[in-house]
Amino acid sequence: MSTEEDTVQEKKTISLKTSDDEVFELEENVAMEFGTVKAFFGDDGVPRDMMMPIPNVHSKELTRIIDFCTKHLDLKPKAELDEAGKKELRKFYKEYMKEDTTERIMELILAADYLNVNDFLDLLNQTVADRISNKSVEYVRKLFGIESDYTPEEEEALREQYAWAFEGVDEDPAED
Amino acid sequence: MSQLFGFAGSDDFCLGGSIYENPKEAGLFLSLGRHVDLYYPPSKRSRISAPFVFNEESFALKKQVSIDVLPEECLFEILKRLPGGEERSACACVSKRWLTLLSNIHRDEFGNKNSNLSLKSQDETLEEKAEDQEIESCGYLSRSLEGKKATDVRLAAIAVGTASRGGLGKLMIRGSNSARPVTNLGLKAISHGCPSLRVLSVWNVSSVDDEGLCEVAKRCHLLEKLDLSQCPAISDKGLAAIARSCPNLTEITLESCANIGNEGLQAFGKCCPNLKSVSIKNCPLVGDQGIASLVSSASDVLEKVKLQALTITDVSLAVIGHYGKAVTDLVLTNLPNVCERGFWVMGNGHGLQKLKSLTVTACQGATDTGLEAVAKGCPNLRQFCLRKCLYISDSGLVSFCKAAGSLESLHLEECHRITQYGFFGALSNSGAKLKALAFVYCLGLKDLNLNLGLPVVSPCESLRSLSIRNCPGFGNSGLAVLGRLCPQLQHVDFSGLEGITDGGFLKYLKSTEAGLVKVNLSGCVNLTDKVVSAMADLHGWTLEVLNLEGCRKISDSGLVAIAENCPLLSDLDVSRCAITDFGIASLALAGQLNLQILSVSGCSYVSDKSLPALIKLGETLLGLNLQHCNAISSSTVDGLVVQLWRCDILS
Repeated sequence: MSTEEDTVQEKKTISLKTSDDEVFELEENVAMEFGTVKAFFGDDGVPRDMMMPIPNVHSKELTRIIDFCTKHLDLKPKAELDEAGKKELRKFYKEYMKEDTTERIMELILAADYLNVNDFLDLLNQTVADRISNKSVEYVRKLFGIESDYTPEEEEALREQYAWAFEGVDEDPAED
Repeated sequence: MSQLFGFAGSDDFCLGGSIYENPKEAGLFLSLGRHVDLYYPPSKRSRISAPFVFNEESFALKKQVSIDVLPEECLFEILKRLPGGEERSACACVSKRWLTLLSNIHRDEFGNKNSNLSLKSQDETLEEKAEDQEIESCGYLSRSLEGKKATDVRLAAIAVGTASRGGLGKLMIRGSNSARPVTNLGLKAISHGCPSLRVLSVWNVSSVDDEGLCEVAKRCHLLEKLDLSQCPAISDKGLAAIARSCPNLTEITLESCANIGNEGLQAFGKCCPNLKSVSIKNCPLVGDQGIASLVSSASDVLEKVKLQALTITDVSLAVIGHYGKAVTDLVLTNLPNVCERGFWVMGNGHGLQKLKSLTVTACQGATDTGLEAVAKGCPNLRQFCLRKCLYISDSGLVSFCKAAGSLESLHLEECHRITQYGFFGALSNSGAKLKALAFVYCLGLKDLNLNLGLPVVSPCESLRSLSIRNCPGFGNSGLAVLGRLCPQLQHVDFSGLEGITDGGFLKYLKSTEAGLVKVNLSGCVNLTDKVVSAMADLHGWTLEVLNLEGCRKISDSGLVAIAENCPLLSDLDVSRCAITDFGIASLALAGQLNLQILSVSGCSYVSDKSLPALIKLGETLLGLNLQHCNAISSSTVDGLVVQLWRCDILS
């Protein structure tokens, strides 16, 4: 552990160690997007060159999160400047999660939640919400592996009550 | 965040299960053999707790655990982002866990969209949001849950479903499912999802207590009407919470709630500036203190007061008499601790200047003196109804009528001390405005012994409606005076007066001046066709409603007279009379008759042969009662139902 103040201030990277023992070195501004990291280093007396363990996050998720944050940090200031920037940011959001399976998204949510990466969490949550919008109840149950805990009468009563909500529902898409 | 809702969920972040899509990756972990040993630092926790099996089954198993991995907060965040009411309702059907989560999301937390994140342009989003909010804030839906259907799940479903479809305005809960009763959680869900709630009515639910009401108070600030009946677990604490948070409260009804007392009422008086109507029945802890503070605090706005089966005393009546400046309707029922002094003080308080309607039932304080004081102290009293009062006497009634100058309607029921002297005296001495008078089941109203001479009476020109129902002993001699006493009667109701015979009624018909419009003689079993013919003759040009139910001696000739002479008749009831097909046919033959309602229920001599006549009458009929007509077959009835599609047929 370095005791020289200068060294601490010059070093602009933060080290994170994941659950599978991989060490990632990130730029400080990217790492500070992670709320948990910010809180950890925010206190006085915690030197920046100390390696922070993040035992609940696997390297695979962390890679992805770092990727998002880096790109996001790049696009955000541009979005605040003009409409074109905003458009680019929206496009980024739209495309970023397109290829991922729902399961993958769940894993990312857990990781982002632990690390407290609010922007990424927002996007992940919105993506899931959009994916279950306008789908049938059975599809949603199957997608998430949920078993209904309603009694048959309750189920029937609810269906009747919400009959209007089931009109125009998308056809169940092919398996993920 | 887990304090957002009262779930007893575990705080475990990760419930285990494999997170690897590809079993090969798991293999990578396993191959890190040299790390899995004694020197493996204890601070590093493995996310994988289940052993691996490399086959198809694990793949399938893995998929099933997918969303249960997410803790409540994360699922909550996802559900918050569902775009519309339809999606939320569909998700509510997925499982109870989702339903409960959805129902706990406050309406304002929905659509928590980062404007950049939205996949639509900003304008579209704003439009949608404005639309959503417009619909949501109306609160024009109403829902009622009864008995078996009243469960927390249903309440949560209602909270989710109504939120985006106009909002819930009225909620009525009657009873509760015994296995899964309505509890505070259900009310909590309603309060989250239905902030536009205006009317809450809960009857007979013992599993809801103050906590539930506090939840409603926290978020439903638009509440206008609260109605609680037989909710023993609710106490003053819950009521005070509602009083403090709902300034728009205008109407309160509390019935048989054993734990509600004076503090609750005090809170309502202090905190609700718009309280117009209060009804309290059978709450043993409510006493003078509560009523007094409520009435005095709400003095300028309180209009309707109903107090029944309470232990209040004269003090409450005194306060009402002094502070009831805006009271227009007052109902006092079964107040055993109120005495004559209470009524006297109420009248002499001179505060009840706006009182229009007073109903007193089973109060021992309603004596001659008490009631006279009330009549004097309430100059605008228009309607007075006195029931089950054993103290009021003839002279008391007369002095009441003398003092109540604005009286328009007087109703006396089960006041057995009143005799015909009182009856005539009341009419002779009433103000110029008395329009309606009714005596129901008053045993004292027997015919007087006229050997003592006819009483001196001055006619009451203003009376239009007279009802003397089920007063045994009222007969021809009472009837004989009526013609002189109320010459301008248009509505008469003598139901149940078995003592009336043809002679007396004929004399009455001849002596009355104005044309009769509504006549009810049901149960007057001694009347015959002569009376009907005379009525048709003398009053046929005004008669609109005639009820002869149970007059066994009325037969076809009566109907013939009606058919010929009563062009305005629209409602005729000849149930259980001795009429036959011929009578019905004569009615049908009458060219000018436009009957709208006809009842021949219980007439065993009306048979299928009347079918053509009934069809002819059916041209104008809106209601037809053929119940207990044993001679009419069901196929005839079916035929009628088909042909007379405009008519409501009872059979």
